[in-house]
Amino acid sequence: MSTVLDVAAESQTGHVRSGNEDSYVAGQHVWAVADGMGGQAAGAVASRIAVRCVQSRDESGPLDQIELGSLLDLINQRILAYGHGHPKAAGLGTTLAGVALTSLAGQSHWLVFNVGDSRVYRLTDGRLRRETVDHSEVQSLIDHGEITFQEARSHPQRNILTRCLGSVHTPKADIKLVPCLPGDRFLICSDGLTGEIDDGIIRDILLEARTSRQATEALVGAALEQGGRDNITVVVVGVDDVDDDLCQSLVEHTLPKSEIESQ
Amino acid sequence: MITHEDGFTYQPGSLICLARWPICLVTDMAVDDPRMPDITRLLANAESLNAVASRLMQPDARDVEYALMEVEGAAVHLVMHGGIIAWVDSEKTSAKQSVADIRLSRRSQIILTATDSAHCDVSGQSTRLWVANGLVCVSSVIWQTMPSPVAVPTGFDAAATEEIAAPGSLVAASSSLVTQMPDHTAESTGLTDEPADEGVQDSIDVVGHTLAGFDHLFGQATVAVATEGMTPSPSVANVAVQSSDSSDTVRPVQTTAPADDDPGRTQTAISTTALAELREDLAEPITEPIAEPVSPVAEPADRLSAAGSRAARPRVLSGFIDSFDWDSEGIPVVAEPEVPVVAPQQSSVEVADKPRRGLVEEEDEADAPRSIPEIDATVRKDSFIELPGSSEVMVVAFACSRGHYSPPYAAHCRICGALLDQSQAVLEVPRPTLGVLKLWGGGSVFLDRGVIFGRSPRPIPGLVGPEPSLVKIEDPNRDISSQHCEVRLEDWYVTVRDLHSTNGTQVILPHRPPVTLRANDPMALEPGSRVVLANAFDFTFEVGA
Repeated sequence: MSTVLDVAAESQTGHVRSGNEDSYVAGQHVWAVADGMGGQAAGAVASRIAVRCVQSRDESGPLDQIELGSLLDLINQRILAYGHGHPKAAGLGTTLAGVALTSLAGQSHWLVFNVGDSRVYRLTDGRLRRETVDHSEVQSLIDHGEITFQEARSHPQRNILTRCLGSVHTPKADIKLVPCLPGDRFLICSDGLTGEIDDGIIRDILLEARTSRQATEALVGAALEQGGRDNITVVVVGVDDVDDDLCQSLVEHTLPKSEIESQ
Repeated sequence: MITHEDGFTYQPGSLICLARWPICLVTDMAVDDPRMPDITRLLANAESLNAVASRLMQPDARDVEYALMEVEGAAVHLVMHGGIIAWVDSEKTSAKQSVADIRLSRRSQIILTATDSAHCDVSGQSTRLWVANGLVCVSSVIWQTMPSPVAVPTGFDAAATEEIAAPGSLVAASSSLVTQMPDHTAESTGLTDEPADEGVQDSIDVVGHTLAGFDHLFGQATVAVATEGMTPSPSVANVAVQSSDSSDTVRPVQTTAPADDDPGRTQTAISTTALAELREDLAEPITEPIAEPVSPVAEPADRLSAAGSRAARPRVLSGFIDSFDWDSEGIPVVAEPEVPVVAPQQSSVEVADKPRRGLVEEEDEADAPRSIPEIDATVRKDSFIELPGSSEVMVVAFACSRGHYSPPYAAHCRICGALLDQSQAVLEVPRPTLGVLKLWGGGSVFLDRGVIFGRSPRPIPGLVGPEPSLVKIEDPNRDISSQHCEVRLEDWYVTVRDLHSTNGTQVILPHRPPVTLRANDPMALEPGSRVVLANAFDFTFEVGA
């Protein structure tokens, strides 16, 4: 079974920050974005540790849900270990969000995962869905009804995370399965993108772009235009083809068994 | 042997019994315990067993010893904590046991008592009094299933059957006064021979099995019982406990007669209509989840059929312990209660100083409604996209010595089987993974969130909580529907429901024959359960370390 993907990625420091603490990985089976934090460029170290671990595991073959969970735990430990060994970098951490291609019941699926407030969006059927939930203070406030989704965008605590890799208490990653469908387009991004442009613009760009490369350029360009106050990293994965001749069954109606038997 | 439909019998003593049919609580709390009003409010408001147990599980009630019992058709639910013991058919259930679901046979008996002895005197020689709703002081409380024919005891004044004497006047321990006696005419006992038994038996099997299905949570096997069909006592003696005001005098309580128009008789026979209804109920297998609680004040005829049908109709439980409302006050919002508490009775001791807790006096203000968070799973008109639900679900748990989390009523850890320390404080934790689904054709799905299976699965809008995973199933024959079935996590339970699929979903619980699900009707899964979609795909639910 082979699936054809159109992948593009871009990462920029932006207009305000002095360095880029984001990293990304575009591998064979996994695509992800990491947004690091910590004093004195320690954030960059954390995000690089994360993507290097992912890259190295990716070379061995596709992941399943267990292996993905173990990989995230491993990254957490590695970052913690770095902090212990480099006291000036202590407390460093990173988000990680992405998608991994896997097989389930003989069908291609995506494992959509995140720790932190980097996001995965999916454009499917002409609609944009946010597939991940942010692990952030403002998300907790939204969940408890204390602020609205709109208020969160400018909330003073919007950069505070409730989970990130590099924590003493190993964070629990959210992992969710979605089917691999031709025509879908995933956007994995750090909050440097979503802090500048809202979801409507993201949707429009993803719909209009003919290739993933066009999408990433347009997205980064729009965010820079709006201020570019944070590092901006985007990875766009488009599903061109799923080698699955059963795709047709998705659109037809189910036949009751008795009808089939009588044919 | 005596039984009373819609009520319990008891022997006087110094424990407090709060009865609110079909629930009964026996506890060592004093009548004027500050936690009592909460409990009495819950019971008076016809709250569920869960709600009462919830209050008793609050940290401030850790020292309370209690046995909480609810009669449900052919089964009894027990929640126990401390030294009060439950005897089931002369078999003592462990005092450490927190929870048991016990399926009863045609002749079963539950005794709640503080006496660690099998010789609880239920021979009928000593005083046995009866209560359906009220607060009484007891040494033991007894409830039984299928009665034997009973003779009216001597000394029973037929003329007095219209009212139950005021509790304060039930003094002498040697009194043979018993309250309402159901009678078993030939017509009513004839019910047991009806072919409708078949339907009842099937229903009971389902119930018994469903109850057993929670073993992995509670670690308690159900009592193996005969599977012959059970029919309830058809006659009913209903007592509506009434109170006028907050005065200290206790007014006589009136009995409401059954549909039969002759209240003076001790013999009550079921009316023909009610009998026919009962037969219909018995014949029909029931799978709906639990309905609303019985209203506190009901018309006699309604009570008859409701009680009769409820007793005849074992229900498939949607979940014995529902999720608990651990909000900050820990006290559910209650409306002004309608049924007050009867003064405590003491056979030989002076009446308590405060014979009546002011359920009528106290007026509870409803709490301000909590604002409901706007969790949108559908497209919002002011944005262009769909947002996922919240990510974390909190549950109440016990921890085992290795740090695994289990439901707080389990006796054993659901992961490693270790005995759980029942005296520990409950924890509120993010819900752990509840297991894994192993799919035909390869692969596993972890149950941190629910799963929707189908040829073209889509998220269901409007659900609260983490979004389910979507698993696409290949099916060239198109036997499997686009949205075929859903596994949902509800508190500690893993449930499966069919999503109106064309060719159906079957569930095979361990050692049971397959059951075909009704559309949108959830069924709880236990480890080892297999779910089959249209005979074309299946998965198995497993739990493990």
